[in-house]
Amino acid sequence: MPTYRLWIAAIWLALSAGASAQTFGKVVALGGNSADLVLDEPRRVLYVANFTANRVDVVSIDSGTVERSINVASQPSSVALSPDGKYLVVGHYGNFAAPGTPRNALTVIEVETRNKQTFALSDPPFGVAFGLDGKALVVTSAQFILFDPEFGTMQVLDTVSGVTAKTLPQPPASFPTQIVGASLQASADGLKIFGVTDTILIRYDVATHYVSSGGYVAAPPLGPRAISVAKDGSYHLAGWAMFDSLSALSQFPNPKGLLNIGSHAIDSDRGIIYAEVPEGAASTTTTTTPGTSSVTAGLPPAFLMVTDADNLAVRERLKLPEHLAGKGILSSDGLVMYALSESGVMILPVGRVYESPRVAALQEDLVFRSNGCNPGVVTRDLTIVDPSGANTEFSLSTLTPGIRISPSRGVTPLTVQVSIDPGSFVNQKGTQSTVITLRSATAVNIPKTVRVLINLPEPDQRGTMVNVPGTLVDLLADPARNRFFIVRQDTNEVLVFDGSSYRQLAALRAGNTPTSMAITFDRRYLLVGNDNSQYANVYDLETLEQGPPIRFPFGHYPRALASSARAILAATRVAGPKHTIDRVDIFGRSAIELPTLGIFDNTININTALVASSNGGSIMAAQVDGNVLLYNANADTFTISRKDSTALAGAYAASNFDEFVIGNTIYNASLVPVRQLDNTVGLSSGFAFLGTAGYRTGALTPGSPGVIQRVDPSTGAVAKTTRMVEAPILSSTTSAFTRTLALLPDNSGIINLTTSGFTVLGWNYDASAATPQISKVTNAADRSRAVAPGGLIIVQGTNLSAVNIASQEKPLPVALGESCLSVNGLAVPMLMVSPSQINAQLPYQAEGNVTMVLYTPGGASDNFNLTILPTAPSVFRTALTDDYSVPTVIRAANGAVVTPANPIRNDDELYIYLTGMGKTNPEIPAGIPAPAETTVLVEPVVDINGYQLPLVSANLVPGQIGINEIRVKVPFKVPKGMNQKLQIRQGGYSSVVDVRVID
Amino acid sequence: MSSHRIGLIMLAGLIAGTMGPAAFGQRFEVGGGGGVSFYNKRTVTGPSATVDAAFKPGYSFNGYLGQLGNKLGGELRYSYASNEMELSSGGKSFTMSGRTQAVHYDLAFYFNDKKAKVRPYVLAGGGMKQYTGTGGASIMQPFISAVVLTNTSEWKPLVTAGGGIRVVLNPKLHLRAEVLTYMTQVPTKIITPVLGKLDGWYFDIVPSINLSYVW
Repeated sequence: MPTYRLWIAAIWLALSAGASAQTFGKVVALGGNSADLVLDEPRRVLYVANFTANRVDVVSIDSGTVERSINVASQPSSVALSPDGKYLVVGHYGNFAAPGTPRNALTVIEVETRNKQTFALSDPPFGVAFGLDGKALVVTSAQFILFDPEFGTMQVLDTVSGVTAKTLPQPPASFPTQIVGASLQASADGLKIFGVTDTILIRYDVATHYVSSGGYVAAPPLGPRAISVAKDGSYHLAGWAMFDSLSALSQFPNPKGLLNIGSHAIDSDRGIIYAEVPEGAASTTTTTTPGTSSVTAGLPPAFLMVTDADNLAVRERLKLPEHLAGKGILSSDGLVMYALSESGVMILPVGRVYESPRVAALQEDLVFRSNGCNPGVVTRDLTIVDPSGANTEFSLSTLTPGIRISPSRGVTPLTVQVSIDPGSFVNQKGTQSTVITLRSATAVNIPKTVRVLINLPEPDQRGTMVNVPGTLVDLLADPARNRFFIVRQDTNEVLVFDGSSYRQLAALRAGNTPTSMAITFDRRYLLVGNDNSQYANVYDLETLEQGPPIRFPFGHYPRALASSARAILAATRVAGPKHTIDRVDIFGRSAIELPTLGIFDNTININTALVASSNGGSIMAAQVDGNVLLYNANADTFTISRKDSTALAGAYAASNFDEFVIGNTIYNASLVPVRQLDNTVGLSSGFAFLGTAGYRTGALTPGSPGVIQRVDPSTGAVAKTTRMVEAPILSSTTSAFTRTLALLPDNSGIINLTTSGFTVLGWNYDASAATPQISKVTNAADRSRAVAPGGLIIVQGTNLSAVNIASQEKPLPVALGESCLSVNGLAVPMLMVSPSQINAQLPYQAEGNVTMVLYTPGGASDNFNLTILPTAPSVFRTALTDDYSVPTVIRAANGAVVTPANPIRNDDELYIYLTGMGKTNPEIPAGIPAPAETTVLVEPVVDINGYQLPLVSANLVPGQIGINEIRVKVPFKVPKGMNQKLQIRQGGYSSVVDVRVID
Repeated sequence: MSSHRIGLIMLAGLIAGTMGPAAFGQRFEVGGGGGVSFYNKRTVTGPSATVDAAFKPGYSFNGYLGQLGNKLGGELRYSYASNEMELSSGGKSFTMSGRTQAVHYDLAFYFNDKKAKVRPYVLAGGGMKQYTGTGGASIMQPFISAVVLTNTSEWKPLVTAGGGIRVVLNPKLHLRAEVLTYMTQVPTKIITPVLGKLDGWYFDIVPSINLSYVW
């Protein structure tokens, strides 16, 4: 390497190391422990109760500096501003224990005159908040007081008993949110006030002066100690839990429960929540995560989540300079969030998040597959963008050898090439899953990693992989419609796929952390249980529309559901002493905890799977601690409870013939384990009964090929073992039970939830495959035999594929449905494969007399010789009825296709869509969407009955693959009438279509 | 030669042939009136359906300038009619609003002389008729493989025939009740066969009441 390059590299490294990580938000250090804050928008200041410095700091929201401080009585712990902005009321938590003297009080400050008046309180105040009526609700450890700041009068609304308040002094490193342990917040309309303390939840209706409170138990504690309220008070967040007017709704997953770390604010107008709620898996080190500057022992890095308000799905994570630490509020326009933080207060311009530098990859997954056509290095594009449109630096890295990223750093927007050398993964016969990490020192967000999936199967491995990014946790086929459903947990969605084309039809919004699905016995509804929402979603299976959810008892989270002919049961995680099975009332959309499970206590393991036999006769519950239960629909009760093993995991299934499967064990009608399945292929991941027979999948490791077996449950014998293209999703500590196998109701295929998404197996996947034969190749537009480089083609023949599947990937795959096509050895990108037809795009390099060969598990086809012309423009057809189609010529005047009823008229501009116009400038590879302004090399000539139409442009349609567009003008004198001949000549080839032209 | 030009020549011939004798006639009239327009229907046989193509009943009005002889008269007439066009088959239908305008010259033959109070007569003549589809362009029509309606205009040669009764209300004012039939070939630019076949004639029968000023 030349010396100067070493110097440049050294300077770059030095600059990189020295660059400070970009974070979101500005910290205003206050020199004390802040306990509460209130926003005074007309005066453009924040009032912050400085608990330990005995003052109210006045912070300018424009400059982010402390303008002045108002000295007040000791320990200001809460602060509220009257709706007219006249009075600032400060609560003083001076709960000093003997020999100290309690100094609990309220201070009223006239904001304009700065006059102060202090009122003693008999009990320590937890919080203060103003309603629309100009009176403040003051919550103390013993009373709810309505305080009028104008007259200084106090009216006791109600009393509360059994509430303890911490006394002062407290041990070192205690913070106001831990000491006071309460937070109070009014809705923006001033009609409702909500509060949370260590032991009670408070709701106050301003109009009726009615205050209600109730005790609660939360494990971990309901931290952060902050409360946020929707503008109309219809829902609110208290710590990590969300409540509506009826009950608890959802929660942030796996909360750490710290009272003094985190905050949130609800923007109900936009349906967004901004929150920092640390998760339970805390770091035990003090290392700094790249891009963050906050170092707090035992805590994860500080970041702000931008989540959907309805199900808390995380849209974005933003790096914070330090942890938030208590109440958060939003400006009235929702553009700025103000929150207590470790140093004092933080100003977060959340409305400008989308203008802040961020980096993201456009591809969630990069899938690499080798096949008979493409054994060499495989390359994929990875595009890194800044959604704000800025040019933001980034770097990419992976710890996996054999993956090359070029370039590995740059400035957005940039498309980099990621390539793998199959030689580095020669022993990898399943799918290796690894990640590429995206970093940026100047971006404020924490970008998601890119999953890299490398699959290099051998010829005997069966199945067609369909990539579905995300965390997939459950699979279910609709028994009445040819569709199947997959739970994508990381985005809180249920994905709906068509059982014929395997295309995604819809993404249904679920609650927080959906875990499992069930279909009601009448086949009308899909039910989805959620680990972090206290309801189950209900979708109409005909319309896929979401109906009212099933609400569960307070503290019950439905993790698993099953529907028998008589009852719908849910295994619920309960925020209480025991987890239970609840019974669902689908009509009332409610659920109740069963008092007992027959003669057995209603207590189950948190990891319990439920499955119903398809005839509705029973529901089996498999528990990770080895317990099993059986609900009998005829008896309408639990008839069996057993424990024959110390642990259970893996697949679970129920037959119509009183047989059950959990893991590798077959159980009889009494849930007595009677047979063991083959252990040599690992723990079962999926099991499906088909009458008295069964299918079973498993794998030794997630990276192994995985197998599918035909099983005779009556003997446990395996009829045949077939290797799959990749492994099914295996049992893990976070998801002990797995349902990864589904049989489509029309017996057209077997769906497996696998490492990359799902894998489709033909119904006769293990039958010996016949040799494919190609009989005809035509262009995909007018179906003539004239084809050209880059053109879309239709290959017809026999045994072309075992399954019927269309690709959803871009770039197009060169292996689809276990088939791959080559032209003179060049891999041909494919759009769709089926037993009798393949739709594909010819490589741009292919020209002249060429040989086409198709490779499938049945072997290689005979050579099919064809001639590829340099240009062969062919106009697509648009079918208007079953028996009538027209050329795809669009009138710009109305954007509609030219038909006899929408004829070409004088002075029209026409868009003609076709394929086969040959090579382009710039040159692009086949299979990728066309970039903008990709023109054809050979200019076409267009005429109507010999009258030439002025050409405007001829190019590839941007974003489309293999589709050309010609734009022409129609002069006044063009011949008129039905069936006028519109001719496109390009190079030595021309094609003609009939159009109608009128005056 | 286009049908348009043939029509113009016919019209000129008729005017030349009838206005000559009128130079010796004694009286002229100007008038107008209104009536109802009824059409026959034509059938299009498409690849998958047989479609009826028709004009629905509509309203019509006209104005004329003519001369009155003892047994013979002649008049130049402008007629306007509004009829919705309709394609129908198998319980489905598609309509588009439409209008026609016609300019024609008719010879009138009276059965009694000009002194009579009531004068029955027959009319015959010819001219040009313009069909116009005035509805919005509908790109997807239900019978698109057989026949479509198009929002454009087309002129067709016209043959007219009819008869009526002239009632002399007073020497200056005559009431005319008549039925006139407008005959043209099918306007295939407006009602356009696609894969089907459509030909033949449309008969537009218009009963009307007219009032004439005579001098």
